[in-house]
Amino acid sequence: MKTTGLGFKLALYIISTTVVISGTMFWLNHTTSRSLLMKNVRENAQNLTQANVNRIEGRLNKVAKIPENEAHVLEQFKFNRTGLKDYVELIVSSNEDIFGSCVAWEPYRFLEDSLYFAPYYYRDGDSLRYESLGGEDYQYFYQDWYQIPAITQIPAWSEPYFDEGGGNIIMSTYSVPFYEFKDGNKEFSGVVTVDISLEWLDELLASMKIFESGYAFLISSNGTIIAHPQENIEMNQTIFSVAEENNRPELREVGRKMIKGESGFLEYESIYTGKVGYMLYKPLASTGWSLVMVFPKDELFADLNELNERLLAVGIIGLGLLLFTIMLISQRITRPLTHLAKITQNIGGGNFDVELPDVHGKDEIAQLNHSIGQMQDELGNYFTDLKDTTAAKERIESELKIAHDIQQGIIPKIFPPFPDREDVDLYAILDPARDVGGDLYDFFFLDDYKLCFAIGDVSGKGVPASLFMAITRTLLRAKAQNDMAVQDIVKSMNLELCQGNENSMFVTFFLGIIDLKTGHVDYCNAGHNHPWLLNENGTIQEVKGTHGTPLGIFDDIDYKSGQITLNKCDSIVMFTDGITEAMDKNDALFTDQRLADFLKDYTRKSPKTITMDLLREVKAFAHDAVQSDDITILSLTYYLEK
Amino acid sequence: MQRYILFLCMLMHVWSIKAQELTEVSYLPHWLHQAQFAGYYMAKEKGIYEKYGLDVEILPGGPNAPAMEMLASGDVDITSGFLSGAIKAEARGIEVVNIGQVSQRSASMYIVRKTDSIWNPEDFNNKKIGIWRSDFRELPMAFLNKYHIEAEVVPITCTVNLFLRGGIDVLCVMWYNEYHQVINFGINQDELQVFDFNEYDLDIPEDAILTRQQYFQENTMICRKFVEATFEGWAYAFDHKAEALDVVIRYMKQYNIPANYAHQKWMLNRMEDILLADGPEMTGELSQKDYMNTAGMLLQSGAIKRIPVFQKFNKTPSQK
Repeated sequence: MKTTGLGFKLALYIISTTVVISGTMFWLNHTTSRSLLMKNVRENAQNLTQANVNRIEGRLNKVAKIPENEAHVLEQFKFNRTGLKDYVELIVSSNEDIFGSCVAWEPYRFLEDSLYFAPYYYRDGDSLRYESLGGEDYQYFYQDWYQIPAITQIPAWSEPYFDEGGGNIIMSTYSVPFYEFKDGNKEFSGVVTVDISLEWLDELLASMKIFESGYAFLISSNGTIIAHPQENIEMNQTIFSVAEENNRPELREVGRKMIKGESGFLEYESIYTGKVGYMLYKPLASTGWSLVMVFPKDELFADLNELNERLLAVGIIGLGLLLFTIMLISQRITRPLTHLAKITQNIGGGNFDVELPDVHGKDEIAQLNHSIGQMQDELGNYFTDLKDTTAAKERIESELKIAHDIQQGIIPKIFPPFPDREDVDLYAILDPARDVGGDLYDFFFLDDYKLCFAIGDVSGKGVPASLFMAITRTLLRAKAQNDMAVQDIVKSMNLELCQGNENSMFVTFFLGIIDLKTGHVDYCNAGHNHPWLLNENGTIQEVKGTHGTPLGIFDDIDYKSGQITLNKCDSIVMFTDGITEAMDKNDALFTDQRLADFLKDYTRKSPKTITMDLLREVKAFAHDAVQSDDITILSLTYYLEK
Repeated sequence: MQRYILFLCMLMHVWSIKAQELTEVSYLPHWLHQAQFAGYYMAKEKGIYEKYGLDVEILPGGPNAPAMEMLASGDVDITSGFLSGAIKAEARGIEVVNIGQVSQRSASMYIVRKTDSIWNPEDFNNKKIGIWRSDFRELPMAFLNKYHIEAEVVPITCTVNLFLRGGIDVLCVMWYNEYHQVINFGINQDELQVFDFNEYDLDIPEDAILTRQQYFQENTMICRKFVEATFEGWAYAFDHKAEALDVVIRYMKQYNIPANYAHQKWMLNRMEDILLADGPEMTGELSQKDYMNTAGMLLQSGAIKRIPVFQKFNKTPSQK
């Protein structure tokens, strides 16, 4: 529990958010600097490569001009044998860049009797040597330097080759076809060539400083590696054989682009150094060769990587510092909080006198401390109030209990009420919803054979209703006289109740007087539920008729009355709406219908059985639901035979 | 105990060979040093020739040392060469005999760029066709004769550059050599249309071991041993390719020949395909049918005027 406290959560959220933010910044910084760096390097590499391409081409183009001019001269002037030799010698001696030069003729073209004619001057140390090329063992017509320009009719640089005579140096020959113009026809006469050493290429490439482990190499138009820092592959391998030997198909694809004269830039893992890096290649348009530069990634990004490492270190230290600060702050916050939590727990336990800590400042902790102090005071006050209120409530409750007893005392409670009489039996029950209720019942003899019985229901509940009920019952006892008709008794009660009825209370009331000699009943129903008559023959019927409004509403009302005659063992069941309007948990009512169905089975039963079973039935219906209204039942059974 | 005796016997056998005078034999390959001759190098390298009582000197071949001429002049004892070249030489009056037929089928083929839309032999008409100027030209010429092709034949010496630069449309190549050179100059296999002579009824044997009639008569056993030892050398080379390639590269570097491992590896693998095409062992035999096919082809092309007698020419192992 302690570990997942506020301090831990605070640290977790802040640290993780900080890591995400600074990680994103780090990544953004890294990628941006990287691409900027790449752009720079790429541009520099392009420039460096282009500069060297230009240097190589400048040198080759300068040399290429020589045989082109020679061819022009040969087409313009007719040389004799000596003159031609001298001319070739002059060309070689006056151009230090070239190793040798030759004018090779088609068979029998220069001399009618000679298959071969090819005067060739070349350098041997500081002096020039002459050789006449051609013979059974050197049929120059079939050498690339002659055959390719002769057939394609295009000047061409030969594939570089090892010169066997000249001390094993790499050479290339530039050959230009020349023609004789006869009668407007152009006839191929032979080729003029110059040879140049390519030894300087190695030095040139070595002078290209490309970091520590970067390098450049040169391939010819068929992919042969002409110059490369790894000397043993020079002239032995093509870029394609290197690709095949090392199983690098992508290198072959790049090589194909190179010999097609394309330029490009790509990621490349060097076979020579084994390092991952980049390759940039550019064509030499005049020869079909390509200059390739390879530079390593690790050196290229060395500075950036170092910067990253430093940033990372600073980041980790920073995070540590941040964590420390958060721990410190969270401890400062949580210590008083923990203390306050203990105090509030104490207060909750009822101890309102706990002393609060002294908190200075105006921060949230101080506010909380202040609020808890206030809460402590108010809780103390409230608790005192509550004590007084509870005492008052207890007093009222005890008074209500007394009122209940009194109310119960004013209605007849002893059953059977007339144990010495065999002509009638009664049973009644009043079950108030609260301590005291507004229902009432009563019965008493007016003379030896006239029994007066009544049931009523005061509007409202509780103490007011109980007082109104007490008045009604007292009025009934006072007004009921032997010689008065029921409607007159009710009318006089109504008059009395209407007077000073400030609260507009009223009572529904049923009053009956039975003559026990005849079984004749006079009754007056003032807005009360109709009672039921349970005949001894097993049928039941509603005692219908309403003879006026409930008592206490209108003072000038005349009430009427109704009559029925009871046979032996007939019963009348009177009740208040607490029966028919009893509710179950779903607010469904008991209803008149349910009451009628119940009473059907209770003909020829004693009043006590009817009353108690009906009450039980209603209670069972309501089950757990709170009793909402007072329940009163009054049952009367007549036993005399007529 | 038995093993011990066996070991002693073997030891004595080796001593007896050592004790023998080795016979000096000079051998000239018919082209520059390369994996095409790996069997000869390995027979020498692994002491197989020595085991057979031979002290073989392998000379550098190539365009400057044409095998038939060197054989005729007596500068070398044994050479290798094309069967067709040998028959031509015999017809020219050089008394050459075949003492071992190394390959039983042709490795020659024409290649063209697919972009040139040459799909059938008939499409060769009016094209420029590059063919080697040497003993190797008879078979490609026979191909052209067979399909009555009118084309400009451009003789070429030893590079494929003329083809690469578009100077010729069709190039005759050896499968084990120039074909792969072209691949190694950046042309993809699927960009080439191949006319394999074997598929055009020109399935004739090529490399053979040759000597002069007179040398053979005087040194029959030596010739037999040379052929047997060479075949053992080939078997060793095919079983130990990496080792054989190292030796090949060493020979090439010794003579300043541009050497590249990938190319030699290709060549050695193709030599295996060609030499062992008819079975796991080389017989060295030359069948009369193959001989007549080859000679007939030469006669038809006009390279020879008469067919030399088979029995006189053929001294391969089956004709003891």
